[in-house]
Amino acid sequence: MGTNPDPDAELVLRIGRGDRAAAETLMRRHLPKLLTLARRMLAARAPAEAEDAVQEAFLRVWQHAGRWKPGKARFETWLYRVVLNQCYDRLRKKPMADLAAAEETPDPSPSPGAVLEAAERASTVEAALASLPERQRAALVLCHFEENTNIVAAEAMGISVEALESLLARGRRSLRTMLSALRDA
Amino acid sequence: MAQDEYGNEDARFAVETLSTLPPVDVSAGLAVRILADFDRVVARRHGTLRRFADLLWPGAPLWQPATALALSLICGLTAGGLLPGAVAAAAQTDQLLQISDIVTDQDQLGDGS
Repeated sequence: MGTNPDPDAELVLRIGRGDRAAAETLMRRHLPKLLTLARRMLAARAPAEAEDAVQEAFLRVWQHAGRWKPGKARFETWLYRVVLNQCYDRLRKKPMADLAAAEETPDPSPSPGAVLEAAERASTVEAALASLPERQRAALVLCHFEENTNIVAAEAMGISVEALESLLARGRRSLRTMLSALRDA
Repeated sequence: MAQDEYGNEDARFAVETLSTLPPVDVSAGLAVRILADFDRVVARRHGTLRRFADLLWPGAPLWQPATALALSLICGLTAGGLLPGAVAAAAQTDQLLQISDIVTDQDQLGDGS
């Protein structure tokens, strides 16, 4: 940690003093990754829910930046954790749509040929991902889409690296089993 | 060993499969809403300070009531630090005087008997 200073620490301090430019820089730096995380976690729901989760996470940043203590944990890790918690809350409010139901959902914007095929494939993968238990899904999304190390992902989820690796292994196995079964059907 | 191989195949499959998902686009509206939240939070924070400052010193720039508050705090702390010693000393002197008065009264009574 000492050799690798938090790249967000300075920005967060400035945000705490009400610096709008710092807020915009921080938002542009993290918004795409956080939105991807929320969209993959809330795949079975309307995209607006993922946007709400991310907006809520940034609101927490704006409100608490003045009290942020650099050096404890990386700011980005804390940010991931806030978004994950927002997603978990939303997932608990409504039951998950099952894979079969997601499969039968018609594509709202049908397009011809390869585009349609790619969209269908993506929709199947999204549905399979959405049907995984939420912690397995979080582990997969954090490690795959965000390209985090296992250490960062484990910190963001508040678990040990061993527990994360176990979640990853089970998540990958389930994903492969589900998608292979669908492909064979 | 076989289990490790199976795990590696699972990992490879997951990477290939998840890579087929399209990237998530950030809508301009979301960025605008997030920054609007920031403006609201900052305005509210300044609003609370401003209202408090206006109660103390209506219409003055924020630094004036802040300075006045800081100075009065310093005066209060200084007085609080020095006064208890002076009060205690005065109280001790009063007590000594009262004792000496009692002793004198008793002496006078003794002389009279």
